[in-house]
Amino acid sequence: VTAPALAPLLRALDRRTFALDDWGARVTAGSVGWRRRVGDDRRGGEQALGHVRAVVHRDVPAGRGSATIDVDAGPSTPFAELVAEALDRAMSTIGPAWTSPPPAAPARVAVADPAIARPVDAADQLEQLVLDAAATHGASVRALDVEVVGETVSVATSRGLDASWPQTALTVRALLVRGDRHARVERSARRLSDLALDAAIAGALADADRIAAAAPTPAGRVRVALEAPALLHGGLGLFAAFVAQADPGLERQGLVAARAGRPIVDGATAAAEPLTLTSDGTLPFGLASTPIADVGDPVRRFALVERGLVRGLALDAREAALRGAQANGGVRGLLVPAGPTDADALLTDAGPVLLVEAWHWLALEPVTGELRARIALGRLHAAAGARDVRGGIVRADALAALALARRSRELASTPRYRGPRRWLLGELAVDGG
Amino acid sequence: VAARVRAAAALTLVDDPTSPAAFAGHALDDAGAPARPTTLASGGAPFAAGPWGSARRSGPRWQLARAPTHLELAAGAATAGALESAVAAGVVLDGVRDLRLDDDGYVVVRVSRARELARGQRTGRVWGDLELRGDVGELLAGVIGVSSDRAAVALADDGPARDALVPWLVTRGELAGGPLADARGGR
Repeated sequence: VTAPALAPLLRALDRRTFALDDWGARVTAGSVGWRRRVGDDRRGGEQALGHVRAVVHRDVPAGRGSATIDVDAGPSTPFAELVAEALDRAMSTIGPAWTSPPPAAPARVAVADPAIARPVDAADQLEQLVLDAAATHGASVRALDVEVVGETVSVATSRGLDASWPQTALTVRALLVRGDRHARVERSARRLSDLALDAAIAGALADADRIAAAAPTPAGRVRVALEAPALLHGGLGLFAAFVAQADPGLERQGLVAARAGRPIVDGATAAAEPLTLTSDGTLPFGLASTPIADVGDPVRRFALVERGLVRGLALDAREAALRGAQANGGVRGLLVPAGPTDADALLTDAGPVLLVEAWHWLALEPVTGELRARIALGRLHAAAGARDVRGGIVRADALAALALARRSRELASTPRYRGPRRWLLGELAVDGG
Repeated sequence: VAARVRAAAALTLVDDPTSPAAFAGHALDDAGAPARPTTLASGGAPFAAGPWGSARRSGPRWQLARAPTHLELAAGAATAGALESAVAAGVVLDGVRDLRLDDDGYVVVRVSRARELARGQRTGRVWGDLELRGDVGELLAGVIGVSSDRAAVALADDGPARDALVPWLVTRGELAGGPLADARGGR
């Protein structure tokens, strides 16, 4: 795995030093191994990957102009022309003056699986793991999509930063069939061992059996609890609303729920367990972890919400410079401290609780926090006992629901999250269907 | 889902990459095979089993996958206006904001507007932000009217370029959400 595009890009940037006041570049190069099955149709292969993202700046008396180069790069990529064209564009974007911060040391974080020598071999291995695990549990694989990326990331800036590191990413999507039931499995991680495929496949097939026997979810208002897979549906899940609140562009336009120093929602600071949510770009083998962000921004841990109050924004070098703050590399892995209550006690404290274990889909308007999600599998806990339920659409304000929630003492860990395994939200509306 | 869906006899759905109206039409698909029309549903028979369509390349890896190119729902005999005039009580839905179809066949279509129809006339009353919900098989089997006028719709997502030519449909379904919350469950 090499970074062949960096040298010609740097030469092109070098030749233009008379016009360039500042620049940063990020080059990723490597390969992807992939396998795809749909019924009897089997395909697979290996592709070279090469991507360049560079930002060039021009400083003039009126301020600073910037332009971006963002291309899939190969041996014949005309970097000299791209740089010249970007410089022209930079002159048409002159805005407030700012200067790039001095280079920061790369964060110490591992983002590559040392067990992956060649992505194409790892893809083969992964395909076989899925087939074997499915067979072990009496299921067949109806469709399978496996992708393993191995690449080297190189970042260089005009201010002397020059760093390089390997990274890997694995994705598995499978549709399994056992009898007249089917189950979907979707996993992403940086390490093969973090995929936990056998457990994921066994769990998905067991859930399919429970869904088949589950009763429809009754409509009405009920206290809702979420297991970590439901909380994080699709990656960030409900937290996508908090990530949007940290967008400095939205904040500048006054479109966020609350400004820094104010409660994220009414009552957030007086909640039984005020929420603290922290971004950490150095979670080992985290999918959002990186030693250096974008084209040279440092990666710093920062609080988005602290005891119910809005704290930090996702700041790149420009936003940070204009605000007189430190850049932090954006929102990365999410950390939430454990709650004081056992996970089981959250369900038995008072009244019925609908524990959602998986969603069919989750539609979240990140700016407003408006949430709609349809239950794939839940468990309704009441005094008379617990029973599995399916269907029903939950509507809520995701910001309020999480900011006022109670959390379990037990923790869950995913490639983007370290925090409570179970969250007890307030009373929410559940529609039938 | 498709395998157990039986559309109304009035619905004929064809994928025709050779149509001159196709936005991304082709004579040969991306695997080099000759393109040809495929009937996916007609005469009330169950939908053809997937994957549908011809081999197309798309996505960040430019990989081959089967996908429809140009979906056409066959036109009916009456105009959309004539279909509306035959509805004693109902709503005209338009402005799709979101559509979710689950593995269990349940579909939720979020729409921007519902215009009230009474005795075949639009009353001028409009509701915003509603959901049409139900089993997709029931919604399609319940189609009792197909318009002669059709609209071309480009389908923009992560898949290969494709489009659809679709008429207005009259069916029965459950409406929910928004200001109609009090009437939730009304059909």
